[in-house]
Amino acid sequence: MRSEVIPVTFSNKEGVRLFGMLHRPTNPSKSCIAVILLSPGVKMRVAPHRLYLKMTERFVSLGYPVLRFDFYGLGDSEGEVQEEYLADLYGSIQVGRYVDDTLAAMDWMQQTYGTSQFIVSGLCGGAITGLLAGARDQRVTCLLGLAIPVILDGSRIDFTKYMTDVQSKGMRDGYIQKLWDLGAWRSWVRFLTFQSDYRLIARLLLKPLLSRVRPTMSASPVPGQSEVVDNTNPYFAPAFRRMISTSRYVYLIFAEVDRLYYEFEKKFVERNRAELESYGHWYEVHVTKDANHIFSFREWEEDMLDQCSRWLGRLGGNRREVANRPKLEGFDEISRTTA
Amino acid sequence: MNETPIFFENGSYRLFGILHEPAAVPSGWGWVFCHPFAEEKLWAQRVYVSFARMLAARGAWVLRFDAMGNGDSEGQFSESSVETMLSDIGCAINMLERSSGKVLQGVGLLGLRFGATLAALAAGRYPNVRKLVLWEPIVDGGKYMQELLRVNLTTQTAIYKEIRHKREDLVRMMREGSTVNVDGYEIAYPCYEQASALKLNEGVIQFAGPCLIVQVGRAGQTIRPELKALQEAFPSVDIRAAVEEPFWKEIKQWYRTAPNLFETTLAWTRGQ
Repeated sequence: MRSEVIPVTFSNKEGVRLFGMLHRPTNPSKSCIAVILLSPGVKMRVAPHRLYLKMTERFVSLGYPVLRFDFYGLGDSEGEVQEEYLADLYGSIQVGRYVDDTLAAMDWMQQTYGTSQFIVSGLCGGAITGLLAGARDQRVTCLLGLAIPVILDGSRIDFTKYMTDVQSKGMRDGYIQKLWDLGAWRSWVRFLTFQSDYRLIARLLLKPLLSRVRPTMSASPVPGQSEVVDNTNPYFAPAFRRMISTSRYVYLIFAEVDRLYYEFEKKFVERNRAELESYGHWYEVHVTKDANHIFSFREWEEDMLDQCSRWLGRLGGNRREVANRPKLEGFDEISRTTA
Repeated sequence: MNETPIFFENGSYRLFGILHEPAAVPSGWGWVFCHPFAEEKLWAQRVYVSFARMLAARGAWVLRFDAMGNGDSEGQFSESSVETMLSDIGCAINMLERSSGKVLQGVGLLGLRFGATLAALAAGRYPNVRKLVLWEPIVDGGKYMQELLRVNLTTQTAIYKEIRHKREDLVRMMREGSTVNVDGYEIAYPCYEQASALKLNEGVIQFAGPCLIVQVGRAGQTIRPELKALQEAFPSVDIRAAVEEPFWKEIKQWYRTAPNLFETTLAWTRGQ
């Protein structure tokens, strides 16, 4: 890796010591922008299958300093997270639990290295944290989000009530397939020994019938608000709107087979299409074909990394100051690209 | 807390670790933690951190480190094998002894799952290891590798709705120089072959010091036959059961600490 790797610590506003790794490129770009990679869920600063190290390698090769760090209570940082269930921890992240830690990281980078503009990036919980941080702090000039969630998790939330049509159909097809599949005998054993989720199965199988006799409930938000009657994160749309309406770039990469992609389309894009089109210069979505949530197979990972590099390359290739909010060449309209 | 990040070398690559200094009257003991395999390492991370802090609070030195191609250490995961992992443990033991000012009366190795398997092998290889703690050790490496291949098959099924590369294809691909992807980790043949050949209860244990084996499971569990057989391989061994969830994989609970496992282990170390 063409960088100097420095273990670093800094404190958040509660005085809790956070731990991270700073990568300083040997050939820094002239843009004076740093990338901060925000931890996904509980997977700390390296991310699943060391994804953040591979991202860092790409970003550093483009001349960006990169900071990866652990939020309080996670990884090697101090502090404790008291939630008993992962779903509740994820839910708390989705409403901004680690935004202050992100701002603390930017403060530390600014005080230590004079960096005042940041690209925040991350997978899943890291992406939503970056979005919410961007809504709070203008030093965030860009969001590079992977598999960003638009919904809220929680141990008391029944996600099966809020599945998109695509999710429902996928699960329903899976159940129907198992009916005739001799290899799925374990599923039959579970079903016959009362271990299956009968409510889910009934809901999935009956949904097509019910949708014919019951009108679909509209979940559109009241103008100016984003509160909806399902599990959509009420902070997502306002934060997204804040980013793009203040001329800051948002580049999102989704995995094609990931439910988060369908949820993004159904629960955010469909409900906000007109507004999104008016700010189309500032946001773009790429979908990596076949990929799962963590981009685990090498071809998915490579596609994601290539897209990140391509986008950052265009960002860095633009010689104008980012503070002037230039439009990126090739970003003149909302685009949906699929590998 | 006095925790210092360190890089140390093993030949051509650098390993990363966090050194926990004693936060109480030094006990004279140091511990090297051997992490589990691939993504299990990340799920178990915070439990390792919590237990390292607990030991440091009782006067021990602790070094948690990332093997080559893992965490923040250099190298590619696909280049790692059982041999490189054992070599990394040896370097970590030396690093702990140097960092502590060579005042340690003994070093203990602690490992979880495949990390425990490696710790058990390393304990016989490095004479300065005096204690051994094995949390839910993998006894049959071959069976474990087959479970990992199944992860690849499951991913194929979930994405493509079919298995494009069967289990035997995956093994053949590795033998021919390709890697097999398990949750994003690229496993190469040397790793697969060496791990598959491991049977901890079949004469490979050479450690004669005190050893604790902890089986992790539900309340009322009985010790599994494979762990009873492993018990026979050590001349001085205690075996215990601790009630915990399998925190090394994705479960509903958030596991930042494992109180029963910790107490079981601490009680044993106090008795030594």
